[in-house]
Amino acid sequence: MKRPWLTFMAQGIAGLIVLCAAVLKFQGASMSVEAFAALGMEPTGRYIVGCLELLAGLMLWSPFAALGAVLTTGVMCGAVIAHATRLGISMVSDSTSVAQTSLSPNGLALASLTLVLVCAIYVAISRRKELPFIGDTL
Amino acid sequence: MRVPAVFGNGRVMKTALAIDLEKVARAANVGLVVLCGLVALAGHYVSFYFHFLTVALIFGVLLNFYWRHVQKRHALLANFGWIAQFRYLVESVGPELRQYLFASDTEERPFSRVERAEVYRKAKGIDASEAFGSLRDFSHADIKVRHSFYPADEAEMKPFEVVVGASRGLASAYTIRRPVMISAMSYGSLGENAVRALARGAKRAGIVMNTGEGGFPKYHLMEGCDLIFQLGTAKFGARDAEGRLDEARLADIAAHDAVKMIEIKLSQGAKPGKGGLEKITPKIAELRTVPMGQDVVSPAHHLECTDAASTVAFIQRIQRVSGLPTGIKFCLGRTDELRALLREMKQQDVVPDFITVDGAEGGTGAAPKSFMDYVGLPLFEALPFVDDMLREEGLRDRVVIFAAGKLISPGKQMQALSLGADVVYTARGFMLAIGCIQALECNRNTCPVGITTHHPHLQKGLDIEAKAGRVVNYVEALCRGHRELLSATGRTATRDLNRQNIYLPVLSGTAALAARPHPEETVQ
Repeated sequence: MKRPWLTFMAQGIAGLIVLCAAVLKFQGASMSVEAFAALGMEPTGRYIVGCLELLAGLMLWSPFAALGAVLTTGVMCGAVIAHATRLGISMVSDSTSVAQTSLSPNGLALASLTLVLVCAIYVAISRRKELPFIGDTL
Repeated sequence: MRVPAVFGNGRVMKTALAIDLEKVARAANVGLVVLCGLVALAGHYVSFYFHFLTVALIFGVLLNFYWRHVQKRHALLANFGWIAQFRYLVESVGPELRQYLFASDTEERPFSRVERAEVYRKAKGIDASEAFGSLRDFSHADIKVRHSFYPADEAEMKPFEVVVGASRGLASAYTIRRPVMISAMSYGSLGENAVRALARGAKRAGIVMNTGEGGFPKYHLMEGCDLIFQLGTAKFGARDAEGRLDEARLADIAAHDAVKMIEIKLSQGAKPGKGGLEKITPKIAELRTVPMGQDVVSPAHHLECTDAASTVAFIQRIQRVSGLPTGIKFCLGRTDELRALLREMKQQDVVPDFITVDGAEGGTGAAPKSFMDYVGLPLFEALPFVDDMLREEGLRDRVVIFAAGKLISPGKQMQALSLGADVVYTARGFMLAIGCIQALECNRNTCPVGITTHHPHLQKGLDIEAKAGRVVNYVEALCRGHRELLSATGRTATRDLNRQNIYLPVLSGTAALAARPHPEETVQ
């Protein structure tokens, strides 16, 4: 691990956002419900992903951060697939023009998704040696 | 590509069950990508739930690409891809599988299951008799105790008694009353629970325990058993800042009632002629009187001992400072050096009260493999040499010989006693008695039974009181075995044992010695 402070920071940020996302899913926030309804996974899928996010977030703040980062990356990849294939990628809300550049709820989700993905990938790479079984070969 | 076996005429020999692993690997690598694509399609057209698998498989594909085309360190992964991981996986559980399932009862090392089971049964007070027949090989290479036509009666047996330091007329001369002692294991190499369990057991069984070279024996002293304080090459507990002897500290340690003897470790069977990097924690640092936060290196020899004269002078210094019976421990290497050392002892009229002969088969927490495997004489080679040389130099009656090196059963101990030892040491025997399962993790601080670890949660399972009972059982069973074997040899006291009581195979230098009894030994 070359820059431990950067890794710890990435773990902190990713863990926080992922845990918030998990809470929103369990609360049944309208945005989550709509998204999962569009994917045809409401409500079971929402709870499964919520559980995975909860687990990943806690792991990111624990000695199992490497595994947590891989799990987080996985969940975020799933989100990317969802946006790319079903939910669409609109960064701004329909009611505002591009010129105003205010982020829609969907846009905010995408921005945080990107941030978490970057952080999680960074943590997974910098802590790859700690992964069970395959850590030695990476 | 796999090279098929080819006969002289160029025809290829095909074996029915041969699997072309390269083809399998290629199929597996392509299959992974195809499967990933199929699952992705299912996720898109059937149900989004399939994308859980898609994500996992994307990871697999990326990892597989990295293993095959980016990394250079693992040839198997580069050539075969992800299925090569199965080899690493199976290999990683190999030691456990072999130990639990596949290794035969007699082939494990350092101690086979048969040898370990004998100690376990003794420690648990279970009947140690065997059925049907011995599991050992009865080849000409086996060392055996020779019995007598006329076994001694129980009533004739004399109690075991060896006095150390009597020849110097010491007031502190110590009488060893049982033939077995706990060999050197420091706090550091063992955790505190293990040390205390052994010490408590030693106290109850009335045996002596060696502290090992771990510095001030805080945990050994807690249980009040008789101790031999070991002064290692780093002189932990009695060193100054440069690693030389601090006389005041040694005198303080020797002043404890429980400390009965001092053993100067010149070398050790597991790593003769080698020092080492020591474990360090704040507790260990305090007891070893070394600073925390820097590496502690045990030198290969005592800084004071550079030749025979300085070594003998150092022995005398320790004898003077401690006022206790003081001996030396070594693993025999060059016999000419031992001869020179003994002659120097005669010259200076300074003789150690005991000599511990450590066989090269001795154990340790951590040592370089080449030293463990290839350096030093094994115990049964060294012991007769030392015994003979002491006799030849006329020093044998002034020196007690302790022997160490895989002596975990009464049979082996009896053989050592027949080859010249007066008292025997075992360390690993006692480790097995308190629950060692030979996991071979002593150097990793992960001992699963809490013996060679400092992790509190691993030590939790080692109950001091329960394991002290095992130590007592083991000692009692060993001593019972000794008496039975002694009786079978026709001797009535352990000190009467000699080389007539042992059969040594004609394979080694020892055989020649065995064939040549001591001049003073009369044929009985």
